[in-house]
Amino acid sequence: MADLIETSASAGLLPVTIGNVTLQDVAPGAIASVAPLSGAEKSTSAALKKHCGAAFPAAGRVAGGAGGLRAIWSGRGQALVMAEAPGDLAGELAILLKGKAAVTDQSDAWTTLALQGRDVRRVLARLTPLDLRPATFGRGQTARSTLVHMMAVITCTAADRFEIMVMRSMTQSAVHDITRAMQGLAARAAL
Amino acid sequence: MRLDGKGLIDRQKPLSFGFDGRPIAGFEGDTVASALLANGVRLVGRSFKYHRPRGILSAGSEEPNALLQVGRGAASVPNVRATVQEIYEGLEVASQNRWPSLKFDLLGVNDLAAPFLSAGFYYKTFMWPRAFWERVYEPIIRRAAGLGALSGAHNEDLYEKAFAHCDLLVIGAGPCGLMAALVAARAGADVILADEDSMFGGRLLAEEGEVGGMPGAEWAKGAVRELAAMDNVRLMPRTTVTGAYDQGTYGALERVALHKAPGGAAPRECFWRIVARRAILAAGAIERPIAFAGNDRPGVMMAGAVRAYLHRWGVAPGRKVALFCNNDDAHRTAQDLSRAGVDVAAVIDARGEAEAGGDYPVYTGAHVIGTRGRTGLREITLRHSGGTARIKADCLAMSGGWNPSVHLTCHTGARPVWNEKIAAFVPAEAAVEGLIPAGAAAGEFSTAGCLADGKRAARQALAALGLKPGRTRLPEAEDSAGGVEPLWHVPGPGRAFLDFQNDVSVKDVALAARENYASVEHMKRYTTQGMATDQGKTSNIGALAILADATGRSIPQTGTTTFRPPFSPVSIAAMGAGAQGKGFAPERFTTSHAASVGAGAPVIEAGLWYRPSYFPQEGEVNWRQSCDREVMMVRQAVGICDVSTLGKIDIQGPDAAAFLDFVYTNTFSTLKVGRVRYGIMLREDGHVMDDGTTARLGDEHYVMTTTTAAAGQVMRHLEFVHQCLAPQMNVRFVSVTEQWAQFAVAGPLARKLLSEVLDSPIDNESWPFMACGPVQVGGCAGRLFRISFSGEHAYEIAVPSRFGPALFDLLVARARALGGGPYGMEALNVLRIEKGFITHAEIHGRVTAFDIGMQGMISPAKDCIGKVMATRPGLLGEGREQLVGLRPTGAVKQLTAGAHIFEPEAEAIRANAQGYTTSVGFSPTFQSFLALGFLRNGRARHGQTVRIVDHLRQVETLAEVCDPVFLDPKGERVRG
Repeated sequence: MADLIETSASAGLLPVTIGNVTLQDVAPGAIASVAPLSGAEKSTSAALKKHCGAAFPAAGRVAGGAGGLRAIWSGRGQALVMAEAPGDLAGELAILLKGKAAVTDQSDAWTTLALQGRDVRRVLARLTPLDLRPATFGRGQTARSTLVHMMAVITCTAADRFEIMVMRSMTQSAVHDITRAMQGLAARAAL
Repeated sequence: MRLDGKGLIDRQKPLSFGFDGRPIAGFEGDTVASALLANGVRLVGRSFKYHRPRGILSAGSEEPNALLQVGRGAASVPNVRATVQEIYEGLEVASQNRWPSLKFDLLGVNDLAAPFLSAGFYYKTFMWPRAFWERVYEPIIRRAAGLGALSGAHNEDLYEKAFAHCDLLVIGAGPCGLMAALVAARAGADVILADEDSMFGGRLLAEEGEVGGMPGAEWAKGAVRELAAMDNVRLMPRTTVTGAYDQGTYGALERVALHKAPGGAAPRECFWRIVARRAILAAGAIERPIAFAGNDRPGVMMAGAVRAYLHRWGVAPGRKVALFCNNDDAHRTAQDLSRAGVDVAAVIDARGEAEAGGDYPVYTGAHVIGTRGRTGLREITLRHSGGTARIKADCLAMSGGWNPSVHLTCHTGARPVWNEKIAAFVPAEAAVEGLIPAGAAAGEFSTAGCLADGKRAARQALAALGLKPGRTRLPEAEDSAGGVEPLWHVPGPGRAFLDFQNDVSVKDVALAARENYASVEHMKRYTTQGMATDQGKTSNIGALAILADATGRSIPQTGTTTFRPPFSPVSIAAMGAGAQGKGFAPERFTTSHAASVGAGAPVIEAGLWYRPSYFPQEGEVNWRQSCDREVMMVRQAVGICDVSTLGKIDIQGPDAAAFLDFVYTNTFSTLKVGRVRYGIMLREDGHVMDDGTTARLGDEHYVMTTTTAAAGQVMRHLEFVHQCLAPQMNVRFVSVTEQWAQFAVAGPLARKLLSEVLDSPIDNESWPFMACGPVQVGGCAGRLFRISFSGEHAYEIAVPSRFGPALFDLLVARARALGGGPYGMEALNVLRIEKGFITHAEIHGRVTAFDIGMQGMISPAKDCIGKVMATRPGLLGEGREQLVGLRPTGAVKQLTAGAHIFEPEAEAIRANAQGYTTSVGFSPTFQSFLALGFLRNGRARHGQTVRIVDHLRQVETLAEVCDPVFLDPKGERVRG
């Protein structure tokens, strides 16, 4: 039997550029949630650091990244470890962290959108209550917050680039809401 | 009348707009008010209650009189203040609350009846008969009294909501606010400067005085230029800070595009939530009127507003202007007008002494006691030491002193403090955490004083922010203000108005006091003073003074009413911005959504999810035909249904089993790896919270499924139990609802179908009923669970969501080849009713495990949440309404959900109700309607006949009580 083919939740919706900001899909690589078990916080972090180049991140922070895996803090005692390439990341981490942490495959649970451009913070100001001023929320910082009516993980990946993770099923609503904010902002420039 | 060479308008850009259909000429920079006055239009509206002619009183957002309807059609906005609305080419404004026209208003007869329409009139008059209030009196009163009207149509315009964060929010950009912003911005603070005007400068734009050796407006321009060039400054013109809330949060309404013709892509307004570490309230002050007979006549205006029209817009509001005041400040009005060549008819100063500042008569110790002119001022009558005099004037500027704009300082509960020196309320100490009042808002009225106070406030804020202020020299400015001697009311015959917008006069307040509404809060409600859209900005203190006088108390003893957000009206459209259409709530789509819609399936909402209702086939003309076919398809062949919306929670850890034993009533620690078990969980109060299956994937690894409806609730419950009740348990859980696309494959041919699509076929030995485990499907790692919600031999197969669409297509194609196909929510519901399976229609929050016949599932061998509470008296026994099945036996064959159950002979009234139906469906398997429901002592009543009455739909059916499991009670099919 032929292999099942993949479908993106944002198929046909992206990319969108309005004004100086672009919204695009980030190819789903592999994502695994890692939750250290009681008393295993340090050993989990050490094992991650050693084998993946990314320690367990502090609250609101991203660890690793340069070439290796990224670990994004995603809540109390929980991080999302991410690889750019698809694969059985969760399976590998489960072996690595056996007895230390609960590891769960989340590769398909999230849609990751990248929002980039000069006015990216002004667009996000219409979507989330986070204080995203560069001094308080710069590269390497992340927050679990709201995006209009949705729960989201919002991460700053460059001075003018943010990654927004939303529940996969809500992708269309996220694109709708972000696009509307982009339109409203761009239209102000024309006033 | 427009004056040459004056004003900050752009005379190179003439504009035209319509007022009640009549074209009015103005210039860019004009407000509707300034343009109307420039064209000699004084009558602009009718008052709320008496329909009295009214004109423009002020030049700011405090305007109580000049309210207009702006625009046409769906997006038409009522009650817009003419003093705030900027003009643009093609703008249409209309006067309100008049019929048939502004000049001739039939309801003007109300004014003749004014002696009867005093405070409390409605309460006293329309008491009887009681039933008349809602149906007769109120509609009449509502029609007669009023402001503008909503269009009633859906407003499609774009509105916006946004957030901002800063170190320092400066509210108001007059001399004080500009100075504060300069000092703070130069020190490196992140500053937001917000002002409700389109232009920054505040009173500097409205006065002639110099600042730093140049005209005040020039100095303001320079300050704004410097601020605009700084990266750490955000200027927000046309933005009214409307509320002060906890922890440095402020609400603000920005008029983004209200000064442009509608139809553009930009939002009309934006509602901001600004979070500031510190804020400076430099909101200035509002001039207060004097209550004298006929003070509401069009042409009677605030003195400060007259100066504003003169200097800001180059408009003389009259050809012959008189001034009535009680302070030094107001005299500038006469001086400025005189210098501009406008005829000053007289200056009437209530104080004993005053200096003439120009070539016009000055009456000291004098009062205006009356005015004349039907739709506009023609003449004033004054009383002075030598008698009375009549003076011709078409504009009377009045000033009773100034009230600091303390409103925001009261929003978190503080009360302002009376300052005897300026005869006004000033903000209380530390009224709002982090908010520093400064300048006129703090009672400092001179320009020099405001500049200095702005600097002082900025330095105070910087110190709190840990920033070092640089050296900023204060510019020179005029340093005189005040000399006010309180004058609230000129006694005498005739009506002296306090609250122009709600038509409350001195007499009304005095009457309230006489009738013992002596508390200021009671007076407010009895007279409606301060309850209009302007919140009494120009009337509160005046009314308070009259009440103090009438009750023999001082003003501070009398107290103040409460200022609440918003400072000025905020449109509901801005508050609800973004929440219309697709923005109302997120839409959650399953991975098979596009395929289902493509197959013509209507979708229904299940929480935020969208699920297919049924899959119509050619020739089917109603949903029942499709539903019946899909049910029979599952019973006889195989059906496919997307069940991804069910909550899925991954549970791991050494204590995972113990944790599940604690949250579920039954035991999961004994479940074998590779097996699934059905479980119910209770709330702490012993009622059923949710049900579902949980699979054991490993020794320390489970995956729990919840109902679609309760997915969030169960996750929250698990977090609560773990964090608060069982923190010692070493267990972790995370939602995997979105990770897996899961499909039910149900029917006698289910295994045959799966064996075709799975990489290796399955049989009953390897996958018995309630087995689970990993499978490979189309080269992809999935999970297979042999569980059934239909009573058929069935499975649920899960793959990572990215493969969901492909797997759904594959399953449906194979099912069709086997005589099956997809089925929707309607068929799913009928299938589970036939099998007697419950959903949240049954476990609706008021039923116990006993009620649904699952008391035996509460394990006696262990504790669980809700176990003890479930044994409370009244939660067990014959008195309980218990889950039963019902099938029609009489002539009427229809059953409806939500109907009530009675004894056959009993009257169908509430007291006789024995229970109710919860789920109903037509069963094609049994060719009959079937229902699930709750019936008192129902399990002991199988075989009895009951009467089911649906009072709402007028359906009455005789039915037999039976076991809720209609189909295959022994469960042979699921094990087949």
